[in-house]
Amino acid sequence: MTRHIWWIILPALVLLVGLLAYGLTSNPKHIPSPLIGKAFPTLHGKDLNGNPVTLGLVDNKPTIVNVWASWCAACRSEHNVLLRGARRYGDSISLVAINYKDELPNARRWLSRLGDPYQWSFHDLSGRAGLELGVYGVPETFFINKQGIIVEKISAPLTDKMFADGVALMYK
Amino acid sequence: MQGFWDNYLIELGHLATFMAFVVTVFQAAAPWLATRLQAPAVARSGVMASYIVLILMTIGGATLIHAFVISDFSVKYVASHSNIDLPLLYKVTALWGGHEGSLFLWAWILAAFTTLLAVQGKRLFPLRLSVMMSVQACLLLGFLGLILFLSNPFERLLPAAIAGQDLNPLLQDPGMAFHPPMLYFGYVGFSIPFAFAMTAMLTRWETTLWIGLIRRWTLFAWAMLTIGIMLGGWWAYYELGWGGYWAWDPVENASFMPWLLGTALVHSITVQENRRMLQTWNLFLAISTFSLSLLGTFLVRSGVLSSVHAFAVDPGRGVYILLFMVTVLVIAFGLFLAKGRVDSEREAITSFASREMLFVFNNVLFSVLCLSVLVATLYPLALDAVGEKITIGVPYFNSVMIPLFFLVILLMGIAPATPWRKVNLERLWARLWLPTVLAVVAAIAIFSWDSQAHWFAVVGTGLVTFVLLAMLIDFVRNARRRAKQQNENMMTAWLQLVRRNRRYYGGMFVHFGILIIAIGMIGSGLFRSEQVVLMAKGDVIELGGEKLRFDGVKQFKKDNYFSLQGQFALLGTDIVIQPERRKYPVQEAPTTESGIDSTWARDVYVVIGEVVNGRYSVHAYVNPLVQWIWAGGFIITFGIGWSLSQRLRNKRASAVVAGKQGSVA
Amino acid sequence: MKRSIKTILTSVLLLSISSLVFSDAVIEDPLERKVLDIASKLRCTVCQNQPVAESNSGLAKDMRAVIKEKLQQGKKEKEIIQFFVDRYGDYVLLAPPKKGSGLPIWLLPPIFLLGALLFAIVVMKSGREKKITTLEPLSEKDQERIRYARKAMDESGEDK
Repeated sequence: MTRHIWWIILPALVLLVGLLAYGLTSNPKHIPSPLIGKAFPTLHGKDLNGNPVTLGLVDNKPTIVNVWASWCAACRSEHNVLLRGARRYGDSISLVAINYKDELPNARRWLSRLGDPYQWSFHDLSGRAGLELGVYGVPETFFINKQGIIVEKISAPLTDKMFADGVALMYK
Repeated sequence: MQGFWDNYLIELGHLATFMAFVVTVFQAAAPWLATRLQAPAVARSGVMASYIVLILMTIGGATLIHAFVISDFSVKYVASHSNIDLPLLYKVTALWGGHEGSLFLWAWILAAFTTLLAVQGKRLFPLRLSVMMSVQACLLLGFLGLILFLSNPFERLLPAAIAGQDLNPLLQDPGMAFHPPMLYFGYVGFSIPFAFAMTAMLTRWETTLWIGLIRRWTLFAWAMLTIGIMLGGWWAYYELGWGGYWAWDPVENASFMPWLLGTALVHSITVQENRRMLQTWNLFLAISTFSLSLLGTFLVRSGVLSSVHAFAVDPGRGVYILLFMVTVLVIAFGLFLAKGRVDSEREAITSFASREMLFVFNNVLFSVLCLSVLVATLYPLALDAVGEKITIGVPYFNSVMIPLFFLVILLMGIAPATPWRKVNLERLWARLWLPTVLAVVAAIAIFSWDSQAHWFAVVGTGLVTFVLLAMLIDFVRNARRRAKQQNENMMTAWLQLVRRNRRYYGGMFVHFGILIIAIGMIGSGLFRSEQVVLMAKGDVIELGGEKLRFDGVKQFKKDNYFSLQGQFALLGTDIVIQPERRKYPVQEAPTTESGIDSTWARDVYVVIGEVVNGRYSVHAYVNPLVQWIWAGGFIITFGIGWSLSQRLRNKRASAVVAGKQGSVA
Repeated sequence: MKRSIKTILTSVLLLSISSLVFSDAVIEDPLERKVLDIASKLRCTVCQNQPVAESNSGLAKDMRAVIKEKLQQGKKEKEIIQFFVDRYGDYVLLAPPKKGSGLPIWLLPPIFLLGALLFAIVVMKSGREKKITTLEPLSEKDQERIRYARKAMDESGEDK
């Protein structure tokens, strides 16, 4: 009887190898967000011009909240996507942003040079707002539906397809 | 002429390595060819092949080192890992600063050990030597294939780079410079028991006949792994600036697993040398330990797991190593399942209260430890496959591993007092009651000294006290017996005892070293003090019974870096602790050098960070007893050396081979 | 005589060790200690496998600041940890939760230990005793062959 227990080596090996092979193909960095399906928290603060703003559902329309910073290289690559998206879906959605741990002059310069697709950018110098939202890197984007529920959180630079898919989810 | 040689010498090395590959193919096929051609001499040539391979690979390695020393930036590997200003020592150790070179080192060590095996084997087991050479050759082929076709250190960069990209600053350090070779000596060392096991299964060679021969190889490999791991921990401690030395990081675990099974193997070999038991288990362990060496190599270089030790990752290399490892595992374990029963007889246990049973429990514990580390390291990956992400970090490992290690330490105290076959429990208690009582006293003392202490500290102190005293009592008993028998005084008895039983007392030294390490870990792990503060010039902080005053910073340039050095006066002494932030202009990667003041009682450890509003961010620790850990490492190394210096009596060795008696090597 | 030596030794050691009871334990800032304590249970999500207590990254510093703030507000450790789990998921915990998908990894080591112990005990008990093989009597054919060989040797007159 005890002799046969050695044969447990076989399934163990198969499992090990399969797992390692899978490991070679997966990306160990992406974290699924627990905030999906929960309400977007209401956060008060100031925008880049000092005006008081509130993060959450804006103008009672499905809202996209994009997290960016002038020191973030990847944010550049998605910026045109945001500009295009703002133009295409402009009236049916609100597009605001969180400027994450950025100095005001750098942030303003960035927007004036590259274009400003946002209605306004929440200035989160300390990173507290980001922390409230489980932000762990830049860029990130939240898609909020009309009920104020987060339907999607993207933790990578946006593509046109992601933007469109996100809008579709917001309207479901 | 000089220029010509400098330019083409590296190509000679490349050619030599390629020729080594070809010869290794022959070495691997030799036994099979010999049968085919009905020419036994062909099989014996496998031995000659191993000499040739070593010479060729030495040429290859020498040309690489030469390229580093003369800063030949036409060699891509040298250009990526070196710099004109690099100190000479690091130019040489840069050989293993990246994948290509460290894999080459792995292969060279494998070739060297194979040759040593050949020299040993010609005398002791000539008939099976060719099969062993073939097994080693197959392993070497895997690595040479990887080196020559996917990860080539000889690749040229033409036109040559003007300046090198410098060696990673983290590696420009004595501890880190020697950490990889020590580890590789360990990993590759375990290929020898593996080769014996494979040969035993392929040629029906009773384990009894060779188990003693692998004992020293196993001890040696284990010692090298221990030194390698210790160097890594020591380096992490003083270099990485978080005041710790072990983080249960996947790459660290990759080196720890073969160490755990290697420890089990060392002990189970001893059982088989004394009783006719555990033959199949030893076979399994020999195969598994080396398999873990290969797994470790895979995990570290494939990027499958996220780790602080961010090696440059290349999925192509990962696929190759995985395929190679799978092939070895399938063949080795397949053979084990089919032909693992090479021994005919096995004894039943006389009594569960016996030394052999304690060794079995030792093996159970180390196997469970190893399996737990393996599963915990891979579990996040498994969950990732189902779409979930969790972290298995230090708190988990501490909760699981430390209690198991406590059990191991307990066994360490009981086993020397327990004879083989069957112990008289009354006599055992007579030897152990005093250590037990004093252990409880020590535990209570720690608890009353610091009632907030984690229960690990209380139990750990008790156990360490128990084992120290048990070992002392064992030593005194043996010395007294010898003094009576040989009519010597106690001093002489002690000395002679240790001199004439090197194997046993070498082992006791090693156990003692482990205990010292345990003490160091209890102190630095459970009684540490730390603070993270912003300090302006003149500020004083107090922690762990020490006071530190910040006296500003100095800035200067040295060798190939710029330094910002904080000045921290340790109040009550003349000592100034000087942590640095260095910038290496070539690599542009800033590094921190911790400032440490060490005594046997504690380390005061300071790290200086960035400036916030004119004040410096300072992270300070007081780590009690941490230097005991490194001291323990030295004791272990000495113990192994002592054990290995037991003189082999040649007549007995040949008797082993002839099957006339169990081994005593 | 031996017994009383043992007793004396034990008492001496007990007395000397109990003197340790009167030495001072180490004191440090309790708030900082608590911050680092909690931070050592959380993972820095932007780092490779480091606890928040040890990382120097911006996010880790922010998280430590938040922990300190919440402690000063009187929040308990459990609430603070839950705050981060709600936003970053179970991934932010350095030790997996003891329920749900984390449960197996906590159960496996004890299962391994029990299994291995059982395996070891069963296998060790079942070893066979060394058999004393009795020689089988020679078959008729073999005996014939021996007789023939002996005859051949005698007839050839060779030295034995």
